[in-house]
Amino acid sequence: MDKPNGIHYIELANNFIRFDAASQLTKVFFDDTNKQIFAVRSGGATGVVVKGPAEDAVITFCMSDRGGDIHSIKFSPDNQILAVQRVENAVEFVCFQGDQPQLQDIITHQVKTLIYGFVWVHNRELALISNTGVEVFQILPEKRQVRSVKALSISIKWFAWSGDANVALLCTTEGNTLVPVLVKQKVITKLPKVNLGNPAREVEESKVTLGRVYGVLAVFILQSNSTTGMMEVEVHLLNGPGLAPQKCHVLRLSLVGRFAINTVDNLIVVHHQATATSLLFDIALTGELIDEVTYHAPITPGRSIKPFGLKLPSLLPDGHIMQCELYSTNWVLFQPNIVIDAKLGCMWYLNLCIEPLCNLISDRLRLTEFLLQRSSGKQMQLKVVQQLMDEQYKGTLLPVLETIFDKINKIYASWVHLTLQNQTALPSNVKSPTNKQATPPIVLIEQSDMVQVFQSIAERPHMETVLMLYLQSLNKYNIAAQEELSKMIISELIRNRSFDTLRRLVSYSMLLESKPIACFLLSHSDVNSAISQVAIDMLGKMQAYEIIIEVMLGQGRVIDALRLAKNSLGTDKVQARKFLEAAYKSQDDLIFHSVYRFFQMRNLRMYETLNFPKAEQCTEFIQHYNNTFPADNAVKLPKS
Amino acid sequence: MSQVLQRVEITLRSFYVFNSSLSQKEGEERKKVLYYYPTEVVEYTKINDVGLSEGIIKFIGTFTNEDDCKALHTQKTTQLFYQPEPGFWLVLVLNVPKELKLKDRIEVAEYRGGEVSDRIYRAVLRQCYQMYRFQHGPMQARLTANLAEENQQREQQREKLSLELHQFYDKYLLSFRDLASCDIMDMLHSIQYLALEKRIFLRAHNFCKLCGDTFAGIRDCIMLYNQEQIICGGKLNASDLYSLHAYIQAVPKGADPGEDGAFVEKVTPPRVFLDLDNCIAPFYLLIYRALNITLCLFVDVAPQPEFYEELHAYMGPQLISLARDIADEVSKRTAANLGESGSNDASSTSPKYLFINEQSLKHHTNIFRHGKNNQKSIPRNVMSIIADLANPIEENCTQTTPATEELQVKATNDFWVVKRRCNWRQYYVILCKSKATLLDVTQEAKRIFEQELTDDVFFDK
Repeated sequence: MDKPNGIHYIELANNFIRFDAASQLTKVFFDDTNKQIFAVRSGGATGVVVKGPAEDAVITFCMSDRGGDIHSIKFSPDNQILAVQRVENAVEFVCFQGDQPQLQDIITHQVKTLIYGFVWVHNRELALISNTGVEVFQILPEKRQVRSVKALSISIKWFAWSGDANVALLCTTEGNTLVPVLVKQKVITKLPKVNLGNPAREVEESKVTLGRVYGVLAVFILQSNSTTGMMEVEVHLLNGPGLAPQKCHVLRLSLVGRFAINTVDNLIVVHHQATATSLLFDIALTGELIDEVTYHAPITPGRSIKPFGLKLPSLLPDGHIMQCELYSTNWVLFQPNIVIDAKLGCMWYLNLCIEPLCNLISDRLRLTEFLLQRSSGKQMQLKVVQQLMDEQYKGTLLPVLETIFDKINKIYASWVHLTLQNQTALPSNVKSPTNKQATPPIVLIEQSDMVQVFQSIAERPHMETVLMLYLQSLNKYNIAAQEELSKMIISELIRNRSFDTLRRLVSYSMLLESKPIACFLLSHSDVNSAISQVAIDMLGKMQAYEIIIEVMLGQGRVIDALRLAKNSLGTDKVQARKFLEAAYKSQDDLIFHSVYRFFQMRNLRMYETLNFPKAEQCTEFIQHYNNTFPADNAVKLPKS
Repeated sequence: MSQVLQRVEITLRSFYVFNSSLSQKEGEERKKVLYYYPTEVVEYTKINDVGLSEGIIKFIGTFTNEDDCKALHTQKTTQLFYQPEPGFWLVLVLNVPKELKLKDRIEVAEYRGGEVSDRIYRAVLRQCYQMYRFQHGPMQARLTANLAEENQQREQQREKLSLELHQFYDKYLLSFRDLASCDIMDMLHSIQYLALEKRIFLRAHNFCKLCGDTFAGIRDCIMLYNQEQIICGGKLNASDLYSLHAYIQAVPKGADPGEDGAFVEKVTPPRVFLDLDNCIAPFYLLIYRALNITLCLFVDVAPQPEFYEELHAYMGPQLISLARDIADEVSKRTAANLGESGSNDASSTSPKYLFINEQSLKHHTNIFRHGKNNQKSIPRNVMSIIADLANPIEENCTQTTPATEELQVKATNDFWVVKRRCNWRQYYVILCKSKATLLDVTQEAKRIFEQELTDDVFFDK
């Protein structure tokens, strides 16, 4: 499996759904709006089994075969009304109580047109698409009525439906145009038509797929290149003004034959039956830009879906494993990532295998751009960063790392600024009219994530440069370094004795200024006095005078401390006992005398007496003073 | 009444290097004199002078440490002593300034020895040694033969060292700046850093780091602006950085590199000695210029031609773009400064300031140095006061706790010097006010501290 040709980047997920395989007796239907698969035995008479979207969601019931083959069968979103089409011009509605149908109350709705299909737009509303247009009906089970709510008249050849966007793409008879129509509860909105370039161009139903990439509805049109004859996929995104479709991208398949399209994690997967491979495209990556249309090549050469072994019931203890045929002619694909093999009775979801894919993209910058758009990209991205810092590269990949940091932090910054805006824009007492929570980016790599990666490779060569590059990148996007990162940078700079860098980072306030960080610096001040200077600078910037005073007292600089205390806190707030005690401990009579006299003068000013108030608990120092300098407090020269 | 006819400024009288241990026998005294300036002096005088210095050092040594012999003042000279390596002494003898006066119609010379600041000139002497060491390494390293070995080999090594000292100092002493204008910055060996916005600083810093990390041979990388102001000092200690700074300024500009950067000297890159982690080791110094930026790269091994090419291809474009951005920023800054203080006339009476970080030896000042455009610096007596107030930054003086001081000094002419010191920084403000009170001076100094101390933190304002 690990052979180079054994690398697969797409797999059939293990949470697949099994159903009764299609046969003469059993007909299988799939509703791609509710993602439900219907296995209908004998027109429903011997049972209908509905499975999906989850593995264990099952509804089983029976209904009478009312004649006519079932064309289409779909539950309302709440599974309470089942719509069944057996003839070209009528739809039946079966109401459910719990999960059993009320077969006596079937409502039949007949129209005069040719029904192409129907879709549920609401629990009680259904849109019928027929050759003459789109009509939204409301079903009233209590009154056993079906009422027309809204209609759009337009002659239609065929249509495609996207359930998660509620958009129908109509191919009109006149002018051969593709018109997207937004169908919602009680509303039908016609959107600007898809620009096909050539007005005479006809598009077949089988060549069109509706999908969604990066939150935008997209119309994929398969067509052959007029010069090379190779197949291409035109991607029309509905992101223009008024959701107008715009031809933005062209995916170059460089193959001919039959194709089918899925989307997985915002990637466009184009399956090619003849070669049994699937090509991956990411429209967010850069490509060749011609006339405002980006031409993309596949991210890597095409590879097949990972083989899938189906465990069959067997008498053997391990069971019997059957290798499923991939790209089988029995496969039908649905959006966004559903594969159904009706013959086999299997419904799978396609999954992206991100790790093997990473090994196929050798350009680390492109890989980063790719991973930053994948829902499962974060861990891989962190791994990529870690790999680049590996010692084997001897620092040669540092410039690449610099660019990767920028890409990561660009996303990080936009998120930080967005959350900050949300916090500051709304005062807490005002209820926001749009209670919309901002959605975080697909891959958000914050400082804390990076710190973890850095920690795993701490104390290696080039670590200082890596951290400085990361800091530079943060700085570029106006993000301040937090505590963990700041500490890490400090440790690394001290380890490498880069004191000048440390000094300058602190003077530029590029590290977090906090008491814990300053104390962290102080704890290393025995390494070099430069660190002590930097620590005090930081405390000074924060005006954390109490700590500086403590530091000075700790160093035995009682007078300096007192001076600072007087200037910063004010004479009234200086605690006499603390300073007298420190002066006493210095065993320097001159210092003790000076400090004592300072407080005496303070007493005089505040209490109009030289004596200390009792509350200050200075008795022992008064005693010491009187012993050391007897003779009614006359100033005596100190001995040393 | 006496009238000053002429004033003769301080001049160099002699400079010599000796090591007493090089001459053990009588009659071989000349051997201990490794270098003597002026060279044309007869040998007898050289030996005599060295002998006298030896005597003085010995004599002082009976009272204190031998190392404590620092300066000797005579009526006409000031002699400064410095022992950078055990046994090796450097002596600088200066003629003190004199004024020829007419007293009762007789010409009298008045020697002004008091105007010579020991501390400044001792620092000048120290730099004489530092520059030698920067380019040639420690002297002792040249004399590897021990006593037991053959005399001939010892003598050869001695002669080689002596020759090297001659080659170096003959040139160095010629380039000696006007000795009279040596000032406090010469004493403290401080350097100016280029003030940059943090983003661009980080870019420059990381550029240097990346050069070092990408090319294995590069040990350190220093960036200067206009060969003068430091942008990134790497991990060089302050005294090596000062020597490098002095060295770079003496390097000829070379051909204009134009739009591309270029190496100044590719054929024989100079060897320099750096003190990295308390170990003096030789490196090759590559100097690369791009626009206003000078990049100094210290390389372990002699670089091959391909190395230059690779390096040039790697650095050139990045450095040019960085140099442009730095130049933009500098011009923006100077424009802003001009607008801010348009009336800042540089007269000798306007307030001056000097701030020095003892840890990085970075200084920030508005005192014009070495008489550019005849701008008067501060009067000599004021400079001497500052030199006396300044706390010398000797290489081994690593205090564990910073001192805090505040001093105000009034000079005999109308000048005031306000000194503050805290957290390993020294700050001086020089004011000229004839009728100022202590209160005025305090307030004016406070104003200047607050106005100028923007990047350093002075919490005791």
